Amino acid sequence: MVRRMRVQVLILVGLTLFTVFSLTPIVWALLISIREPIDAFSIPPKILVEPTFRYHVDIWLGRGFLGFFLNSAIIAAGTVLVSVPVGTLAAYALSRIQTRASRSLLMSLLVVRMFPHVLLVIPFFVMARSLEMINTYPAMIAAMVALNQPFTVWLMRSFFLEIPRELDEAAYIDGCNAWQAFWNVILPLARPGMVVTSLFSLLLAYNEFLFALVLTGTDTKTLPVAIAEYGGEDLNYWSLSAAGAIGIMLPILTFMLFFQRHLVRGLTIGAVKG
Amino acid sequence: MASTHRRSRLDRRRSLWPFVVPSALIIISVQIYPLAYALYLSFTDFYLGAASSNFIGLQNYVSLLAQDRVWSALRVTLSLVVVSILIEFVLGLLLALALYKLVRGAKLFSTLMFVPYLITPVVAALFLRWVFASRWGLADALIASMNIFPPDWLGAPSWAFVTLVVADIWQFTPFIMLILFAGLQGINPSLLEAGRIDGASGARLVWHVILPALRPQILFVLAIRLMDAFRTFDSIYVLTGGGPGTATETMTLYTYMLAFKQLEVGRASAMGVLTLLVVTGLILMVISVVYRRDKGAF
Amino acid sequence: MAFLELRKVAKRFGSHEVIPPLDLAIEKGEFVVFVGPSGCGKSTLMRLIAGLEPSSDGEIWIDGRDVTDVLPKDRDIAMVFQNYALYPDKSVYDNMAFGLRMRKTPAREVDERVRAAARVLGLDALLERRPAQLSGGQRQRVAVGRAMVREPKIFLFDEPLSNLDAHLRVHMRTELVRLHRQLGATMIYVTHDQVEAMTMGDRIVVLDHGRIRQAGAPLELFRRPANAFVAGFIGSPAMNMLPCVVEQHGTELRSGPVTIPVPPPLRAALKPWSGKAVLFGLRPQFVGLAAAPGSGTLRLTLDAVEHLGTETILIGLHEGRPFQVVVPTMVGISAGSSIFATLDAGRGHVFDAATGDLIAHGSDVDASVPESIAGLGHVS
Ligand SMILES: Nc1ncnc2c1ncn2[C@@H]1O[C@H](COP(=O)(O)OP(=O)(O)O)[C@@H](O)[C@H]1O
Ligand SMILES: [Mg+2]
Repeated sequence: MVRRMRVQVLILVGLTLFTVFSLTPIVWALLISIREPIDAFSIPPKILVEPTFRYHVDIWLGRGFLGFFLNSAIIAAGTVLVSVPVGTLAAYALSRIQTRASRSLLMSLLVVRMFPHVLLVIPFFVMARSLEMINTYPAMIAAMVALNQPFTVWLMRSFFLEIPRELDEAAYIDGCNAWQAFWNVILPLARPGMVVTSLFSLLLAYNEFLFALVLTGTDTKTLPVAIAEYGGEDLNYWSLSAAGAIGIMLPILTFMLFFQRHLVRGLTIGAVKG
Repeated sequence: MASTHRRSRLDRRRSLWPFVVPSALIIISVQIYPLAYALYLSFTDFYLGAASSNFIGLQNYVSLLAQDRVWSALRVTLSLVVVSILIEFVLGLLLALALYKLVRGAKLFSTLMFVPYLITPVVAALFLRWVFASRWGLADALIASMNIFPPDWLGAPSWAFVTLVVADIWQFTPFIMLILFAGLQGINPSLLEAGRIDGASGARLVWHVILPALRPQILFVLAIRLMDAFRTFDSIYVLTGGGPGTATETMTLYTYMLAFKQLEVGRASAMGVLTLLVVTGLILMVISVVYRRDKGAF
Repeated sequence: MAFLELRKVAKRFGSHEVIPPLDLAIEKGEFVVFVGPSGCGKSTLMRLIAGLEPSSDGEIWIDGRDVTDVLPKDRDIAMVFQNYALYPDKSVYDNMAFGLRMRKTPAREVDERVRAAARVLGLDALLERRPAQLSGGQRQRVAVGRAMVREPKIFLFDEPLSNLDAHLRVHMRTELVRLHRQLGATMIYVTHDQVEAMTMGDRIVVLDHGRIRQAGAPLELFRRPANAFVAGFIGSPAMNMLPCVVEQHGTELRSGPVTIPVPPPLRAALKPWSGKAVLFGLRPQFVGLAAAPGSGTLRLTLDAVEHLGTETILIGLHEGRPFQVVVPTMVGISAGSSIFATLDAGRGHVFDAATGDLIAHGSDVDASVPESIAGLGHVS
């Protein structure tokens, strides 16, 4: 009994320490963002100061981050709109066909996922440049769809596998052809899966840096590229860029609260980091 | 005798394969084709801005393999990958076991610890930058307040390496933790009971019962982490940019520099292909190690 | 031409032949039961008829039309699945209406037919519910209703009762039979439970490894099994099978230490088998008890005694095979006791021990009432 208590206490201490380790950089950035630089970097650190949201307002409204957010949003939404419907169709077929061909197709999707992105970004850049598509949304969306598609197919497939095949067959007998069975019976049941897949794809596109760095320009710059440019500035800009960084993080935390239940599945299938 | 499969409209495969076509077209045009193109580029002297390019065979590869910078990048990459993943794995496993053992509150802890993994990588790297920045960073502030002279986290070669490892650990340990924790929850409790009855306890139970049962999850996290660690770009770009000098320049980073700073697209493609070869080799190695089935224990 | 005809229909999965070429004809209005052990290909055969699986060979004809290569939706059949396969996001009403709507039935007719089926099945009050809000029995009825509203040419049931508890199963059994009478529809029913088969079918098709071992009316199968497989599969408890050697030019069967006199009508059939190994099959109902050993009595030491209330089953071992006796309820007998069993050889069947094929039925197999039990005494 006593031993068990001791073990629990030990575990609690260990987990608390790691949690502190995990959260400190975030809290520190939050503190920087709501303080004037002069307070933020006093030694010893001052904790209790009147918070200011001046920098938060300034970065989004005064420094054009709202526009970058819009770019991020357009690219992420475009990615989802292309990748998820197309991936859903393939995923359905691959959940129902179980032959050597379909299995090797699924495996090759995994292999594709393994390729170093930096190898993919080079031809993308060369091709986009010759098509004069650098600094356009479609180029970036195409790249994000490329990174996304294998993951989308695998994740959606896992949702389709949970829907019993007898439902397809009942639909066939009730008068459906393959498309009608999919559209009328199976797809409505896969809707929660599509929502989850869409959100993961959204997150992937929203987080992307390398491709955005190479393929976007002044008109299409996304938040990660914008904030990376800001981060390097001198001390006086720290509060500003910290405010930006915290702002970029917020949608993700909201996402996480909603989708905790599906997190492990999303991770096991494709991992959120591309 | 009729063949095993006669063609039939009833064959579900016939009606379902068309569903795959759009996805296949997309994958071919935005994945396969670009990769093939990159492979082609790696055999040319393509230079951004030059009017034309020539096929030069293996010359890019030959000259790359002769560069110290490439070997140094390989060394940096491998040590970064191996050191980070080792620490992350041990930490992640300990945390997963701790969460598993914890009577209440596992959900809260795992959620909080998981945050760094989900944050946009660039933002995560910036967060760490503000911790490790010289003089004004949190780390320095804390160390200085104890009257110790803080190291130059990002400016000294070995400390820059340490910082990158810490950054990787900070972001990716949660991933390993969560997958292994999910795996632990899937282990049949009677398996653990049986182990306990056999007199195994603590570390022995972990080694002889839990680790073997977690083999699929372990293989998965190691393979995924290997792939991802190899292509880590965002955090290194933001934190050290490969510096000081090229002290923390990885293969990915060097590929990027070649292509987009030196505009040597052909050579950069060759570098990317080399990276791919190394990753593939390593992953095959992990798979063969983890699937050493002849061993009774892990 | 029969209403449903399978002509040399075969099914292979890769190189694994699940159904060797098979012929079967089913008449309009029949209630046919496919029965056989699990894995014998019942579902596969049904799915071939439904068109859910393409056949590897042969032809399938429904109502004078070759449907071999016709999609399920155009075969005019309905199917009730083992797990019901109700559409979980649709209401009971929409589940039943779906098939009609897919066939562009006018809304008014859809409504009429759904409500009529609901009335027959007692689902009126549940029409707005989702499947998840129903009990197992209710779901089962919805699945039947979904088939019914379509008024299909053939109803297919694949083990539809196996997910219900025993009580409900018996109830639904009679319901389905009543429904069959009411609709006069052609029904094919798959089960691995021979009791279900015996109680429901007009005709039973016994399958084993994808082969039809015998097809016929329930009592015909019970009384005149065509082979040892059917004999052992149909009837509960299972028929006793005594390994024997034919002796004395077919006048005696020797099974271990016991010699069973062959009744005169059987002798001619057994004569050519003299000296060969056969199986003598005798239902446990046709075994009696004797107070003392006599010629042809079997001494059994009981391994188990099962009191069912209405009757008692005595279970022993003879020549390495279980031997069972059904007697009227009997107290004071328990495992470990020894009994003497008398065999009513005229009720028996003789099968080739090597192939299981029938050699001859006893002369009295059609007698409907088991003869009185010879003696109730037992030694201990
Ligand atoms: N899609 C399939 N692929 C390969 N083998 C199958 C498939 N479906 C059924 N089988 C095999 O066919 C045999 C008969 O199966 P089934 O018709 O389901 O039997 P039953 O319904 O009588 O229990 C089994 O051995 C089963 O393993
Ligand atoms: Mg079956």
